[in-house]
Amino acid sequence: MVNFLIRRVFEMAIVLLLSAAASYALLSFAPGGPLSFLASVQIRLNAEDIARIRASYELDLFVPVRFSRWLIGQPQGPLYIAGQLIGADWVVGCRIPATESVIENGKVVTREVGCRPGQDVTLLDLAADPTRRQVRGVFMGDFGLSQQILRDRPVWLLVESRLPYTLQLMLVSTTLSILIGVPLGVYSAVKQYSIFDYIVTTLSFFGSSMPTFFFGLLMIMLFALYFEQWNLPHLPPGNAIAVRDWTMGTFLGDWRIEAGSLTDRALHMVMPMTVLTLFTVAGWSRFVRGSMLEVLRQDYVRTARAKGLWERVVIAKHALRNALIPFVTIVVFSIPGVFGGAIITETVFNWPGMGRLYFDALGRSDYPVAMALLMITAFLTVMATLVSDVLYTVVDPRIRLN
Amino acid sequence: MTTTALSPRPVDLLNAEAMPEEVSQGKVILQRFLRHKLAVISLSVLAVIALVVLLAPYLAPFKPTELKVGDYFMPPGTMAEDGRMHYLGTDNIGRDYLSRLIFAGRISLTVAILAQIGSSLLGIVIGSISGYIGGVVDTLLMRFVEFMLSIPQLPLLLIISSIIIQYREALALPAPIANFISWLLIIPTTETTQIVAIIGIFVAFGWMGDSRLMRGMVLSLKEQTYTEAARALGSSHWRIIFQHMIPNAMAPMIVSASLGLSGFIISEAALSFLGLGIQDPTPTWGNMLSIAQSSMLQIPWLPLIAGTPIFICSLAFNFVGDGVRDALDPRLKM
Repeated sequence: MVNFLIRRVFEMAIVLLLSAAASYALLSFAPGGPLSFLASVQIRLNAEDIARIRASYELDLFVPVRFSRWLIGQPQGPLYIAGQLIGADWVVGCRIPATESVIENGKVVTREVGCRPGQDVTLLDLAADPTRRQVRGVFMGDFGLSQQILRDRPVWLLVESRLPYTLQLMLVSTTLSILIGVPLGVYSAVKQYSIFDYIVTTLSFFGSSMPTFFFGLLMIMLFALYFEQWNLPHLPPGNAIAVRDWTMGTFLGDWRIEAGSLTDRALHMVMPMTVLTLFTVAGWSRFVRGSMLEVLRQDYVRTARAKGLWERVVIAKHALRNALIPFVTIVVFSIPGVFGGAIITETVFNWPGMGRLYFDALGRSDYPVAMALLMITAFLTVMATLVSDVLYTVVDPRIRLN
Repeated sequence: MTTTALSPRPVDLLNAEAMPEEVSQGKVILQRFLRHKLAVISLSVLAVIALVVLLAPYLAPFKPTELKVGDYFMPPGTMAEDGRMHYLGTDNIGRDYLSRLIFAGRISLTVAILAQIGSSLLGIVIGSISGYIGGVVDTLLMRFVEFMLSIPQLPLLLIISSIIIQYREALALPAPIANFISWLLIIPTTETTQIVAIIGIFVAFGWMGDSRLMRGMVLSLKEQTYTEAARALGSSHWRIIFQHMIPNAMAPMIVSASLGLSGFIISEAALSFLGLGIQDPTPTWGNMLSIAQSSMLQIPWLPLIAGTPIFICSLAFNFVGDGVRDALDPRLKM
């Protein structure tokens, strides 16, 4: 067990490191960023401004160096060993890149070609520049600065402000999904080929074929727009809290809802929660049905019945407990999604959670934010794999890890 | 469909005497498929949709990008000035909705089908290499697959496609491919890059499951006596792989492919809906839905029209996949 854990943690670290490096490399190729934003709003920048902005976002460092600083907060400057500075003149970046403009296919294309003479950044410069931000690295919980969404503020502030909304949405919908999906799956397995089973199976096909964005839009159309037109109790079309107090027309007259009150929050959550729950229930009920059918065929279930146990006891104690073993994995694997948020659903409902944040970060080229969310999700995914492996041995003693 | 091509006929037995009346395997499979009512209905619905999108240039009353200034958000059934009918009305810049829907179907379905074919092929190749060679190659390839499966997919998909979409002007396709796609989908050659890019991304992220499946099949087929016999008779590795392994592993691959199509339809629609897939002048169901969403305050029912085909196709592919699974490999049924 201990050997297994050590090996797995080691493997996890490698997977995380690789995916961090891959994502970082990808994002460093991505167009956009603070400079192109300034250029797009027609701000003329001179070379010094460019150098300053590049330095403040560390864009003047080479990608591997920037990555290493982002990850572990090193290098901060030259090494000082036995009274000697090592690597003081190592070039780690370029303050102002040399550009050249060429005409290509009738368009003027500006390219970076190396560094302007005398504009190299060395390790010594890195330490000597007092304006340069002291990075601590992701390991120490420093995800860098946001470039667009919350300009120059720590990324962590953004994540912190969005996390509660995502957690709220996801926890409620996951709980509901378990509470609805497991009984549905069990019951349709027990009554296999009954009308109930047929209906549940067909509905779960519908549920898993329904794109979440389409279902979301349909709900907004009906419950937000048309219901308001028809003067029925309607739901807010998006966001998590109303901006100002609003009134809802009901049969019993208007109902005033205070912005930010519990009712307000609950009403806002109804639609995104329904979409997520329906989608998950469709998958999970099918899964539980499958594994339940498998278990019901086993000898020990027949034995239990032969002993004359109540059918209810056979199902709940002998069959269900065993059928839920693989289900544990599925639920554990949904944990990363809980933090990462449902990007599509949150976008459709304008829900201010992590998924929406990720989408905004991509759209506005705020790559430190995107990177932070990617890393959090990747970390949780890897952790979920480990936890589900360990849980497996807990719930099923037949499985040994080695 | 493809099921009939799958019958490995025992050639020698055909001429043998006193054999019981032979029922070809194709027939058995077809019968089993026909028993699945929903799958048959779905297949016919898909056939109708396929026919409509194939005949798009003849059926669609308007060109998909033909716009009329001022004719914005016309209700369904409005006549255009030249006497043609806008059966489903017009969109936010006066393009005929029905025509766009039909052409969009052509593009969305092609993207899904090509992406599925690509990822199945890649999965088959990598899976059979990994399973057949074994050893270090197998370990490395399967570790890579595990790595790809362990990283969160959708966020990366979004990043890569947003990068490619922004650089799509700079990417150049070889002229024959661009011309072919442009002819197939009836779009200008300048818009073909993004389509190929999206297909490429889907293939890059979609092959892992298939390769695992294929590897598992190859591993079990390697132990079969007929493989041993083929080896004893001196068949080359290539012959064993192509003549024995791949045909015998086809059933689960076809099942996985027909179920996977539904996923690609939804993925393409989702990417385009989020604005990170195929971009607007080129119609797809996803980006039409995205426009419909932004016009919801004017016309609340617009998303219903753009989204229904996505749902129908995805549902139909799921049912057909289920039917194909029942027909080809009843043991796989849970």
